[in-house]
Amino acid sequence: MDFAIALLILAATLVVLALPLYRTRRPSAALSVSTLDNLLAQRDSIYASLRDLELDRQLGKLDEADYNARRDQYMTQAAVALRQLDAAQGQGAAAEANAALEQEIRARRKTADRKTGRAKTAAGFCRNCGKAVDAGDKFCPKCGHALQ
Amino acid sequence: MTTLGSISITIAFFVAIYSMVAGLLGARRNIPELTESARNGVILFTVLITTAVAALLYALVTRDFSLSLVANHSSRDLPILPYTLTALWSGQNGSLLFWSWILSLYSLVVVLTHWRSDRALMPYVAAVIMLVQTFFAFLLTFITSPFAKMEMIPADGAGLNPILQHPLMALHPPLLYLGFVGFTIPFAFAMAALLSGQLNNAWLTTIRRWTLIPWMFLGLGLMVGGRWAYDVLGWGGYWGWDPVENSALMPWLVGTAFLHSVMVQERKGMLKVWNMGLIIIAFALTLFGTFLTRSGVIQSVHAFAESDIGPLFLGFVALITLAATALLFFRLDKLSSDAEFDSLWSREILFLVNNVLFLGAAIAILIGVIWPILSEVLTGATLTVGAPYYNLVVGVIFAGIVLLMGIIPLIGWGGATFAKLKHKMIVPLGLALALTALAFVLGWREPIPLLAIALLAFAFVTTGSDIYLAARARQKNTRENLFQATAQLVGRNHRRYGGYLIHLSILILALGIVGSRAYASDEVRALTPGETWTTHGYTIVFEGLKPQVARGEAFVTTATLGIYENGKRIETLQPAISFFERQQQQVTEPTIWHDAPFFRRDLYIIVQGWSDNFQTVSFRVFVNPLVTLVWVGGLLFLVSTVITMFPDPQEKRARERARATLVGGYAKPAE
Repeated sequence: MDFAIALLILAATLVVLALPLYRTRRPSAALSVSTLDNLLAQRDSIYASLRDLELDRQLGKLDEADYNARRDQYMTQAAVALRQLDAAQGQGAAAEANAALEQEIRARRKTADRKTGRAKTAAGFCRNCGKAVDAGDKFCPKCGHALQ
Repeated sequence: MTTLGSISITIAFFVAIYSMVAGLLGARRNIPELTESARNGVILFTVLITTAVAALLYALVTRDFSLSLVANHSSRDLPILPYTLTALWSGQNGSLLFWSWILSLYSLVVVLTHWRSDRALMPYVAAVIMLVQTFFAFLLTFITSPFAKMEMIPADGAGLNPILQHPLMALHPPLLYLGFVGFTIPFAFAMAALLSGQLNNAWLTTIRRWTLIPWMFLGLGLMVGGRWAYDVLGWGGYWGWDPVENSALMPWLVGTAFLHSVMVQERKGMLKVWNMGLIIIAFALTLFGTFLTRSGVIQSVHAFAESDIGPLFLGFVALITLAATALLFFRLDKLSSDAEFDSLWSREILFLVNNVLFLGAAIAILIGVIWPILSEVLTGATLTVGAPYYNLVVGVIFAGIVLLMGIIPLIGWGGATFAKLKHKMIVPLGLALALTALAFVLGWREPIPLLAIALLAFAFVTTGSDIYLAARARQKNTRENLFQATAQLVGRNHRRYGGYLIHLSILILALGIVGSRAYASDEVRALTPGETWTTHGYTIVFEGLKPQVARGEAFVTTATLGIYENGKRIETLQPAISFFERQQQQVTEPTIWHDAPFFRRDLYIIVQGWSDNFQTVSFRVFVNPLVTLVWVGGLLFLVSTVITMFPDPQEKRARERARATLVGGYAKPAE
């Protein structure tokens, strides 16, 4: 009995651990902390600083000169961070566009392959529209013209 | 069931080793199949350990006295809820299992919530957590199994220590464990950052939140423990500088230091090495604390379970600390500061001072804790340090911290000059002095409590006025009343104002400590039935004694006291002593009368003993001013920490917006 329990748990364990190893390999995107995360954190921290600065001025902890100097400094930092963020997001968007394009191309190629494949095995062409048709087809798959 | 439990633990040990290796290897070689498998390992470990815990609980509930844990820590007449279940962590092997279980639950949550968002770090995080789990699973499998059998099966168990049979004892250990164990998570994140070399700021928000959670639990655990001591131990106090209390306080102090200095890193990119150091120290201290409780090296009221695993623990602490420190040195070049300190009177500098003080307090306590060992090595005689040492050293350091708490709200990030600061201090100082004068009028006359009041009042005024002035500034632009404006303010900036609320609750708690320690009184008087005793304006009438009434496992002797104030009966108090035959143990049951207006004071009475065949009974009466503020401050601490933990609404929205525009939520990897 004990032995059976042990065996059962062990088997379940091995299955759970081994499962990911036999899955098809997916592209390992973003295995380093993305620059974007970092830039977002940087931007948030500058925003927080600005917010605190604003509060500090409202509460009279800073005089105008100090406030202006620091505000300028943070604004510059924010501008740099935002520009980098834009660039990173642009890259992201470009990647997205690329991926979409790739997919479109793949899809078209697939249909094209099917068509050529069909053309290879084609028994003839539709008399009405000229589409390649298989030997067993009774009607044209494109225009529905009777083939017999 | 027993077999199922021990098999689960054994397999869990190997799963831990595997996941550690797979996580590390997968991350280093960039093999996602392996890291995914390691993640499954973490989840599986949780399932296996949970199975073991369930099996042990089943054994406890079904009173399976063939297990030594069940036989030694429970008995047939122990109520199932909650005390039979609490027996789970009463023994050493049970508490190690409990530790591992809590860590597994933490790791489950971390893995499920962060696996995608912190993809680069998580395999390392999993590996580090599993390294710690390997150690615990090793102890549980090979050294001290919670499923160890008795050689002879007794008819009934030995029962649970009577002083642990208290509702708060169902709460105190789990809270402390949640705190202790939880520090593994920030440690794992820190190590993951060092291992992967991803030492930028992206993980700081994550690590801050995962430090706040155990920090909150540890603080609560300490407070619940204090309340338990106050309600049960019958010495009128709540904190005794016991080595085990201290070992929970030390990581809390270091964690507090980290929570402050991490802000400097977020804002300025400074103190990176220092912060890493603090995380390592906090984690090492939690393991060291466990070592203290478990080893029996140091005498403590908490040594409920002593054993021989002390050396193993010490070895593990040393190994982990050394490895972590080595790793830190290895990555030093990546941890250089992004900025310099601008001015001497800036938040950054004062945060650094605050850090030094917090760390100093932790070190001072550590020296006190290990003094018996140190003195034995140095002089050959075992010397212990007591409350006077701690009160003096830690008291002075805390006074410095409170002073900083008062000054920091007055200055912004980046800095100010001392001249400006002086100018801003005038009003708060004036108010603080006025409050101190009020305390003087109310009867506080000794210099040290008055100084403490002045410091607390100063910090209270500057912190409070920061919230108040910001709310007023908000009112100018909105039509809200002051209350609405304050609520909105806190709701929109959880971190800043939640933090201030934590400060206020700590100040309230500190006022409770000062009041109850500086002006506590402690008197003993023997009374015969019908006799009266007047003290502190209360007249206590001893109305009789009911000796040795059986109640559950115990025989209880109860005294009845009528409390009169200004000739009016205000309360009937019934302090008692119960005698537990099985354990041959006597437990005092104090009674407490909270004299209500403004949490004025507690009247705390215990029966000390009797003579003349129950005819003369000796009572000990404590009067503890302001002690209720300690618990009030504790509750506020809980509420404000929870507020602080929630992400600010606008930060959350901004982040979501930014992410929504990206491919599948992820940006392109960094090259």
